[in-house]
Amino acid sequence: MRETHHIDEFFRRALTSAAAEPPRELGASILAAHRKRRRALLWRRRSLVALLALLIGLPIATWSHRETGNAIGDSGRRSTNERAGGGTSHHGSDGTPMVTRSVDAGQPSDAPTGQVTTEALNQTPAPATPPACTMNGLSAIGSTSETEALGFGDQSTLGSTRETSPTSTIDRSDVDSGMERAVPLALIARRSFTPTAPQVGVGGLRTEDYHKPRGQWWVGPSLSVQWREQNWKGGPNELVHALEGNGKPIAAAGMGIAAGRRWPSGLGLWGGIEFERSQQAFRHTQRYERAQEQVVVNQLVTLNASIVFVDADTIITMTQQERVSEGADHRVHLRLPVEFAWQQRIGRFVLGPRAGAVLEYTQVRATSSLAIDPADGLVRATNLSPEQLNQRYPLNMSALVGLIGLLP
Amino acid sequence: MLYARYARRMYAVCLRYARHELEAQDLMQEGFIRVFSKLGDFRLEGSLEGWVRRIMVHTAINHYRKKSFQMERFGFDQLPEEPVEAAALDVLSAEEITGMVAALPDGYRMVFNLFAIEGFDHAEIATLIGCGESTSRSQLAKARRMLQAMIHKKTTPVHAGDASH
Repeated sequence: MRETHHIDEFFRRALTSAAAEPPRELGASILAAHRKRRRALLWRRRSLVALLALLIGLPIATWSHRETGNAIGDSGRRSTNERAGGGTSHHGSDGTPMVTRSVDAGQPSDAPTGQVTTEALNQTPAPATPPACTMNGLSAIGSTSETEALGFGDQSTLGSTRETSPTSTIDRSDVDSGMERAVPLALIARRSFTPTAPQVGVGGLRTEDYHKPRGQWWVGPSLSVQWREQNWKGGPNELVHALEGNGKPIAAAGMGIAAGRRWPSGLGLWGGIEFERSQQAFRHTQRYERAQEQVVVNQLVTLNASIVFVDADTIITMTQQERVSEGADHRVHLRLPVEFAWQQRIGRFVLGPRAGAVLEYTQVRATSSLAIDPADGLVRATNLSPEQLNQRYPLNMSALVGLIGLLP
Repeated sequence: MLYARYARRMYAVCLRYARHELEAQDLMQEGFIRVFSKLGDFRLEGSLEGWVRRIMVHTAINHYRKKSFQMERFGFDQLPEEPVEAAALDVLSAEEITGMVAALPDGYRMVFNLFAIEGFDHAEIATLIGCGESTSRSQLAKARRMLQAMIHKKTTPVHAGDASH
C-alpha cells in the first residue's frame, strides 16, 4: 500500500497545477534547435539511403547490360556494310610506283545508312623491277584469283597476294558491355491530389496543432534527356573499342508519364513509363599487311614447244592496308522506372536524394552492327537479324542514384 | 501552437526537476524537441497535456541519469518530522515552494518529484533512475526531512511575530 505523508500532500497541492512563465526567447530557441536537429537527422537518413542505393545499385548495374551474340551467323556473313580499302603499289613501264585502290563489293541495295570510308596507309616500295620479257605459252604461276580481286588480272606480270599477320587477331566472340553510366535529366509537370484530412480535435485543440497531412498523390507527363556512356569490356579489344562509339556520350531524348505519392516526411515514391530514343555511332579501323608476289619471267627458252630454260624473279610487294567499318545503331528504349526520394524543403525549393531501379527494353532499328566474323576472326560491319540484335541488347535492369528538385 | 499552450505548465515541471533556471530551460528545450519529433506517435488517447508532461518528466529522468549519481549526504537524517501546518500554504508562494524543491540535492529532488508529485512508487522509481528501491526510500525520507526543515525555517518568523502580539 502506498504510504502517504503530509509533506508530500503539501507539495502536491502546491505544485500540481503550478505554472511559470518561461523566458520569452526560449520558444524561438527551441524552434531553432528543433529545426537544426531535424535537418541533421534528415541528412543522416539521406546519406544512409544514398549509401544503400549505391551498394544495391552498383552490383545490379554491373551484372546487367551483358551482351551476347556478337558472332555473325552463317546467314549473315555475306551481308556487309564494309569495303576493304587499301592500295598496293606496282611499277609501271617507266619504273614509277603507282597506286591502285582496290574496290570490293559495295553495299547491298537494302543496306541501311552507314557511311563507308576507305583509305590506304603506307606503301612499302617494291624492289626494282627487272625488265619484262615476252611470254610465250606461259603456264599460270601463282594464284590469279586473288590477283584479280586486287585488280591486277590484266597485268603483264603474274602474281598472288596474301594477307600476313593482321594486327588485329580476334580470339573471342563475346563482349561484356560492362557498366553503363548515364546522366539523366527529367522534367515532370505534376498535378497533385490531396486527400481530405480527417478533422479530429481533442479538448478544444485545433486540428493543425497535432494533425499532419497524410501525403499527396500526383501524376504528370515527363520529358527527359540523358547522356549515356557505355564502357564495354572483355572480349577482343578491337570490337570493344569499336563499340565504345569513339568514347563519346550518347544523347537520348525521351517522354513518358509518371505518377507517385509524396508523404509529409518527405519520402516520395513513384513509377512511370518512358519512351526514349538514342543513337550510337561506331567506327572500327583494322590495319593489316598484304603481301603480293609477282613472278617476272626474264628469259624463256623453248625447244619444240617444250620449255628448256626459264629465268624468272619473284617480287614481293608489302602493302599496309586499313579497313574502316562504321555505322550507327538507332535505339528505342522502353523504360519502366521505380524511384524513391527524400525531398526536403530548402527555402522555396524542394531538394533531396533519389534512388531507384529502371527496367529497360531496347529495340534496335538499325543499321549495320559490328560483329566478329568467325570465318577469319575479324571485326566487320554487318546487318544482324532482329533476333541477333535483341540478343545484343537484352532486357536489363539499371540502378539510378541522383538528386531531385521541385520548383514551387 | 503547442508550445504556447503548454509552455507555462511545462516550465514549472522543469523547474521542479532542475537545480536552477538554466538547467530548467535545457530540460524544456530537450523535452519540446522530443514532443515535436514524436507528435505523430500521439494516438489521441487521453490528454495531450498528460502526454507532453510525461515526455518532460522522462526527459528530466534521462538528464538526471546522464549525470553521475552520487549518494549525497547532507546531515538531515536526524531532523524531527513535524506536520506542516495548512497555514504554510498561504504564507509560501508557489515560487518559494518550487525553490525549496529545487534546492534539494539532485537525487533527493528526483525521487521526491517522482514519488510525491508524479505518483510513481519506489519500484518504478528504482527502474526509472537506475537505483535500488531501498535507495529510493532512503532518499525520499531525507528529502522530506530537508523540505520540512526549509518550511519550518520559512514559517518560523511568522509564528514568532504572532507570539509577540
